[in-house]
Amino acid sequence: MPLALFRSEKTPQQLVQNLKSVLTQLVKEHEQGEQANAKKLEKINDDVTKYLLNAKHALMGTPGQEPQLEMIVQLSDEIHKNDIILLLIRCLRYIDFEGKKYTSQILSNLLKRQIGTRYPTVEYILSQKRSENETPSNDILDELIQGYDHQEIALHSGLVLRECTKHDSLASIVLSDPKFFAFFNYVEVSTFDIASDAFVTFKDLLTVHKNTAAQFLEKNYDRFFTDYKKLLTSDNYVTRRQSLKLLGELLLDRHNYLTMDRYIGSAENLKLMMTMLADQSRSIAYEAFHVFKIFVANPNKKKEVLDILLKNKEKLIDFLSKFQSDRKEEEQFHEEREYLIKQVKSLQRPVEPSPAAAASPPEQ
Amino acid sequence: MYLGSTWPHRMKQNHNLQQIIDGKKLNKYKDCEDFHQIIDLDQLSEQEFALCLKEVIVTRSLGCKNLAQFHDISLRDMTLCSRFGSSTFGNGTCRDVIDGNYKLNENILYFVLDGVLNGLNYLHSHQMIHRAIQGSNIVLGNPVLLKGLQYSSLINNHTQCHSLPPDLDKRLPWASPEMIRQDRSGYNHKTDVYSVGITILELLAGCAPFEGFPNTKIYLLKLSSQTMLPFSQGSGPSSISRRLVRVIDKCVQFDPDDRHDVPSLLKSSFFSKMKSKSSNLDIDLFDKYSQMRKAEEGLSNHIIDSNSINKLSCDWLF
Repeated sequence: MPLALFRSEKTPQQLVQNLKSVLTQLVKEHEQGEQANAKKLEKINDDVTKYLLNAKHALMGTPGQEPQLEMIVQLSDEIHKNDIILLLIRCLRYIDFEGKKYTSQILSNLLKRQIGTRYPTVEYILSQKRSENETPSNDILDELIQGYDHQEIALHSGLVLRECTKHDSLASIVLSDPKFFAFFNYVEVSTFDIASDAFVTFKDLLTVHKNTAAQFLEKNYDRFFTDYKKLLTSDNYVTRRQSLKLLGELLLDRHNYLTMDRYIGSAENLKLMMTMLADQSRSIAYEAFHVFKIFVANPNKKKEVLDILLKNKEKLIDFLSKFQSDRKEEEQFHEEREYLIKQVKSLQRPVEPSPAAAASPPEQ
Repeated sequence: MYLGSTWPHRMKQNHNLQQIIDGKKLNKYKDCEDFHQIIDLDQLSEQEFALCLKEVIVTRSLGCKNLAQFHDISLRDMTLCSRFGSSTFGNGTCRDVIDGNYKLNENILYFVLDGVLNGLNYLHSHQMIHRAIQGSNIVLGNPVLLKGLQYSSLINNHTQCHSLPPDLDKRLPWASPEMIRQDRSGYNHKTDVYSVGITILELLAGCAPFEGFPNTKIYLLKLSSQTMLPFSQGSGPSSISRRLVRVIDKCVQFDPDDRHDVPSLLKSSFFSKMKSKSSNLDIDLFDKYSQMRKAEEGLSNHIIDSNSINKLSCDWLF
């Protein structure tokens, strides 16, 4: 079917072929480095943007004109058949500003497209999965994650990556990929907006698909929390606040019970939370309170955790009774604080069995 | 209240300034020029903090001269500093102007609306809806800038949005009936068009229709009204052109399908007529307003000591 909106391409096949051709040219020109012809490059870039806009209009329509279903189906199929998605992501850094936006919109739209219960683009990306050393990975997802390495495309890659990770199957690949741990660096990069965007993706990966994330945390507990501690103790206020808030959410989620149980059994983690509870920042202290309360409320406290709480019993009671008492409107906070004070007051060492009782054999 | 979108000079006029100085909210103006925004992140609530980060991310990925953008963002301890690549912020928002008892004539209104609609056109063509169009989110100057993008939402063309923007209760007079109805049919980019209509009324009359009413009453009035033009009751300005009334009428239709979209509004006779007269634009108002602000400079020297907040410290025994 012809594309009624545009004169230059008559069919979706032609549009995709044209787009593929100019993207390939774009890569070639950039590979030439300084020898690249500036005028030629500009012309190619204009063509790329034009074809991307045409593809966007065909997929998403224009204000006042709805897209044609047949056109969407044909164009999506052609994009998949010609492996345009990976090519687009690889070329993203060379495409101009508006072109980058069109690219992220086109890819997001394709990822959202649903036929019954099927998501054709998600299935396409899954079909690109390769397995090396028992670790599943995927070129498209890899490229999207690495997009955070490049300032000029980070936000666009991030947007598409988040759209991918809305699907459990794709989120699971990202979490299984060792490249996931690069997020611990991305959320701390000096460019504020990129770091914030990376944190949104990081958080989505750990909170949207509860079972997948819970399995990941259990399997990678040591490495994950060793790296996570660096975020909690970061010099960057935003990283500290966001990571502390996320920690609270993760630990309080019932899907992560095993992870929580392990985390609150560690005296080191308790020390960190108590230090953060007394942080100069009011918001950090408040978030730390929501993690600290889990340690105190745990009915089966480990000995080393109980020891620290008992050593600081009086100080804690005094501290908690004054802690952020000006949060007058937050009734739940006050109730929780009162509960914690009560719990700390009732803390006592478990009665150890006497040596005689321990030596005597149990009654038959 | 999240102050991320509140320019320093706006704060100088804020009615709650004393409350802010008293330590409820901290905004430091030390060594601060009009072109910078300084936010003490630690004073933002959880929701405000999330909105602030969203605003930074959203605005950085936009490329339209009529949308406010952050430049040179830096984080110093708990303070976020950013620069706005425009000299327009010296003039404040439209709300500042009308709060200062300056009325906007149709020349200025054309100038403002042209900027707002161009900004909206860009957003809508990029599958975003603004959801917070109102006088206090329009910055006067050349170019006119639209802010408040932290409330925006991504939306596909021809699909409906259902989620509600945060803090909607503070912007109810500008919210469209379909947005506050919260039913299955949802809302789309036409919700912004409705808010533009209400904003025009706000700029003409000095306040938005139903502003100051209890929220429940606004809900009831909005959901029962077939028309939103309060002028028919004789409460609005009397001397506005028919062309402008037609624009307002096409914006505030109860049914979103009866409303114009942004490109159609930009093609309306009001804009084509005013465009030809734009050489006579009375931008003198901006200068007058700037002078008025300077007279209020006294307030700008308030520097708040963040240590004044009661903080606890403790030496734990490990």
